[in-house]
Amino acid sequence: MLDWLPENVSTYGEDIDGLFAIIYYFTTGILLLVLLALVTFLVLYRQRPGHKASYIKGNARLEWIWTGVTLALLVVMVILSRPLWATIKERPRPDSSPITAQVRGNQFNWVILYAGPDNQIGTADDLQVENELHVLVHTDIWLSLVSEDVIHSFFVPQLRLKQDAVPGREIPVWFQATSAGDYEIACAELCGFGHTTMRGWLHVLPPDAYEAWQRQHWPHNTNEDTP
Amino acid sequence: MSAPISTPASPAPSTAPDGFIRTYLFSLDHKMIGKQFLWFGLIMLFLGGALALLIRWQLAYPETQLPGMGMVPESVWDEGSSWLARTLPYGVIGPELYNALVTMHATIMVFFVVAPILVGCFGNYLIPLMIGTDDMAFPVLNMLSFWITVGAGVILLSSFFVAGGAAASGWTAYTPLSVKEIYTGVGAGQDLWCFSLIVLGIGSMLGAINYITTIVNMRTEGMTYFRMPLTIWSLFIVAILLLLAMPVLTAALALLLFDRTLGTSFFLTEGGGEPILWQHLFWFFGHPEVYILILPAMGIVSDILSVFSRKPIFGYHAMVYAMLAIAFLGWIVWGHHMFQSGMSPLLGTTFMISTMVIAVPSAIKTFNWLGTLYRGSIQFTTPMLHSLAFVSMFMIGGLSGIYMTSTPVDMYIHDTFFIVAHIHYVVFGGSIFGIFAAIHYWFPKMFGRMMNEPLGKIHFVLTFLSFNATFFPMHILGVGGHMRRLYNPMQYEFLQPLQPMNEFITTSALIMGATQFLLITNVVWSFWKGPLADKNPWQANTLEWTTHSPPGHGNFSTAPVVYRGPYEYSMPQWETDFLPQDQPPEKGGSPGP
Amino acid sequence: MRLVIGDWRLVTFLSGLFILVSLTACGGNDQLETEEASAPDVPLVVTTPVPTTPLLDGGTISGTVTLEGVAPPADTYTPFKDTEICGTGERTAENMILGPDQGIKNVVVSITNLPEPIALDRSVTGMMDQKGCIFTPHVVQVAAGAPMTFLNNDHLLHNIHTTGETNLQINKAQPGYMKKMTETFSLPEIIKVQCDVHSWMNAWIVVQEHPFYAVTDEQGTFTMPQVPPGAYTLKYWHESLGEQTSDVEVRGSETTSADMTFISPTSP
Repeated sequence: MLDWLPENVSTYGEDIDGLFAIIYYFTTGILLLVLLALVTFLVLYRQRPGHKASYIKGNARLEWIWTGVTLALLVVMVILSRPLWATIKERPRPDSSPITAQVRGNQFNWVILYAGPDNQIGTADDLQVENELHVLVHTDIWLSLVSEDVIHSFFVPQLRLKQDAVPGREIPVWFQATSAGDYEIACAELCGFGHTTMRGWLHVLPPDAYEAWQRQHWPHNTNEDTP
Repeated sequence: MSAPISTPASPAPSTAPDGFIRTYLFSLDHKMIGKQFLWFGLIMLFLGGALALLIRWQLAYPETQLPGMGMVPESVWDEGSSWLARTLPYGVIGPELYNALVTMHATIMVFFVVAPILVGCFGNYLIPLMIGTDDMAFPVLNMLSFWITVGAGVILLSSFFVAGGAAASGWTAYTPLSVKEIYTGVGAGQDLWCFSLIVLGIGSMLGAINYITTIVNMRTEGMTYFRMPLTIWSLFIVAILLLLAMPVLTAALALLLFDRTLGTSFFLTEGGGEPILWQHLFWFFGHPEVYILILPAMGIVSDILSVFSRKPIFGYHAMVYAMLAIAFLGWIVWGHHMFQSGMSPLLGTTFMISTMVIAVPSAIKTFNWLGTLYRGSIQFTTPMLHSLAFVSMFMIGGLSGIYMTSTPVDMYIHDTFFIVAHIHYVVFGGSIFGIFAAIHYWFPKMFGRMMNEPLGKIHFVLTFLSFNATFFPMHILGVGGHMRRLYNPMQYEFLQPLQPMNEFITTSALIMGATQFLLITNVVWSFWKGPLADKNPWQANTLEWTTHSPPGHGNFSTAPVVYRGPYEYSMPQWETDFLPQDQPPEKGGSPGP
Repeated sequence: MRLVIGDWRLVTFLSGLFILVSLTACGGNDQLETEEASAPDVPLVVTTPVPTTPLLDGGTISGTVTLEGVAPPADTYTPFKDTEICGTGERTAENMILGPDQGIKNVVVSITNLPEPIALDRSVTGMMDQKGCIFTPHVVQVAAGAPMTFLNNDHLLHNIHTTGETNLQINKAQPGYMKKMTETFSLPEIIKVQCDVHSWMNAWIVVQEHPFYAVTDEQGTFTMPQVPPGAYTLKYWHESLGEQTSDVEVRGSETTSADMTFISPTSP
């Protein structure tokens, strides 16, 4: 099952995959144990001559034990999940990491508005491109998700990243890609009959390629520190 | 403690025989109304299933003409104004129709199949019989409840034929997609969807009032709460959930209709509204709703497992408390549908905690079902087979829920086929197998004839295998990142390796659909030609088996008196391996708890 | 009814059969392909609304619409979707097409105050194509209440999204296999139509209730024949430059000149 996960190229994606694996082994183990018990009971206790059922009404101790064990395992699940969730979704954007681009969900395209060298959305050096997001590898990238019309959802499978884009809100999203390459962006919230066509590309570029791309679009920029 | 005995608020039955209309159409007899709900639900099951097969066709063979459409003359497509040409141009499922299909498939299955059959049919049929009374507290309300449900169904299905087609924003109708016609191209169809569910809510609430009143007031002498079968407990709890949850949906639908037709802005940002408000309202209803769908099946399966293991249910009190816990906790988990919605992530964490906790009572029930089988004497009748499938399939569905409860993992699998797999394992693997179990188990009582056992077993095996072949691979699709409600997965490079699996799933689904004709054949054939049934063909303890198959008007010739709980099977030093609830202790049986 | 051993043999046999069928089924299904990819294009037939009864003894209005001042730079775009059909590379949009003498293309000239209605033949179908991810023509004329057919010769999912102010807005998908789709607009208006999937695609539909509408060509010239004699106010509409009006006097069997100038919004 785990082999079907797409390639992971994000820092926290690895942690998500790890948690997924833990849950996978845990649930598969429980499932197999229970199914084994079930099948064993069905075979051992099938009706046959000379064999009578036992008049057992319950076992309070057993009930408390399996309740407690189940609860404890689930509490462990919560403890493992919480910090990662906080890291991904509750992390405040540090001042040193400006927003690279505003990603606007629109029926039926992703409109990317790059902040440009001044790191501000809404200024003259902004660049609008549809469906192509270019970012630098091995760096925290911050995006601001907005929506033009209905709820869309920004989903990059190889980053394990998903966040709904909601009209009326600007939702910050961050990731760090660990490997250069081209990764598909999909819309993961039904947004109309063109939902299936809302496909974009995330281009994660190594430093020289990224600089070349920046120079192509902002030829007069001399600021070396832009992400 | 003996319960007060109330009489139903209906006129005394007349001595003259009722005509066709009063007997079959507008019956006030809970048993007939229960059967009406069954036929209605089964018809809707086939309709909803057909829609699902259309969805599967599109996913396996995107933009490919439906088989048989080649026979339609080209002029129909060219002329373009017929319903067929507008809905299914060139015989191909288009993106607008696809969105309507996913919406209507789910709406029909959730609201017009599972609830009407489990709650409408079996609730109506069994509650008076199992608590030992002659009818529901409010027979006229009962009859209205059925016909209102039918009316709601007619309203919903009519939406396929209006301009713009049926609602196409998902059964979850997230705003603002569902608010403005220009976003989907659907106009009246979405309004009809809202009206239909408002009307249905009225029918459900009337039914809930009836069930609660009946169970509280009309239990026969000796039928204390803790001598009620778990089937009745589950229906009692579900009735309370319905009464509390349906108004929330009704309110949300009203607000949506106001935004759509009166120019308000509850959910539209341009007027100061909040799109996520809809999600909160919908899921605050929606989560108790899914427990409404599963609890009756859990109760029914508990009883059937006990009967065919010839053993008391393991931990009867724990089972009741577990259902109460599920019902209570079900109100505080709704946000787990909204982890990625833009809702505060910290709030998401609280929902993660409550959702993890709600897994516990379901786990308790699963262990108790196993405990019931332990050292039993198991008979593999068709109802038992379906109940065993319920336990194992519901378990898979429940365990897949653990992945989603973990908020970071949910970030990846939300809105993918992993969720679709989960839904179908709990609602089909759970509720529908529970429905099949209930149909086979109570058919002799309802129709006075036995269903065909070999045919029932064949139907079971083929359904079980094709069900797993259809839905298990969806977990894999989800893990691969395959989004849901997606018209054409071939558009995406990362999904193309998964396409053979989509084809396999479609093939399995087609087989599963075809297999259900075996059930229809069994039901129809047995209805006319099945061997006549005894009062108690399963040798079970509950009160419905003490009267005729089918019961006459008024159910019991004299009001039964109950001396024990419903699970006294295989008592030591007892001549038979079962002891009915109403058998007096003077005959030697000990009064049970 | 209790378990009978015989049942299990039947069950096992059926299970095996089922598994066999499933395996063969997933081995390879013929996809029933539609013939869309290999079918010839549906031909585009551009029409202009015609009156039900032919007009006689009218005069002709003709003229040239030009831009005065420095021509504003044309909008450009680069197709960002379905590039294997829509093409790659930067293209010029059609919102400011000027001829060599700054004649403006796609100006819609119409009579606004016709005293008596002149009925149009509602059976004449307006037509517009989506080919290479461009609406062709960029401005199309159709009679109010007549069928307006949208062709899709691209074999791609396009959609028709109109944002008229008096006509009901429509938003309908036109998937690749849907070679044509027909709508009707019942109120006179100039309606913008766009594709949301390929959001650079837009065009204009002139819904007319009488025959006296003309669209300027590449040189910015237009001709309006068979106009009944009389005094009229002409409206000149352009999607980027706005509207202007002028008065004309038409005499039978004569040509009246009605040139117009738009001032460029770009300051020199």
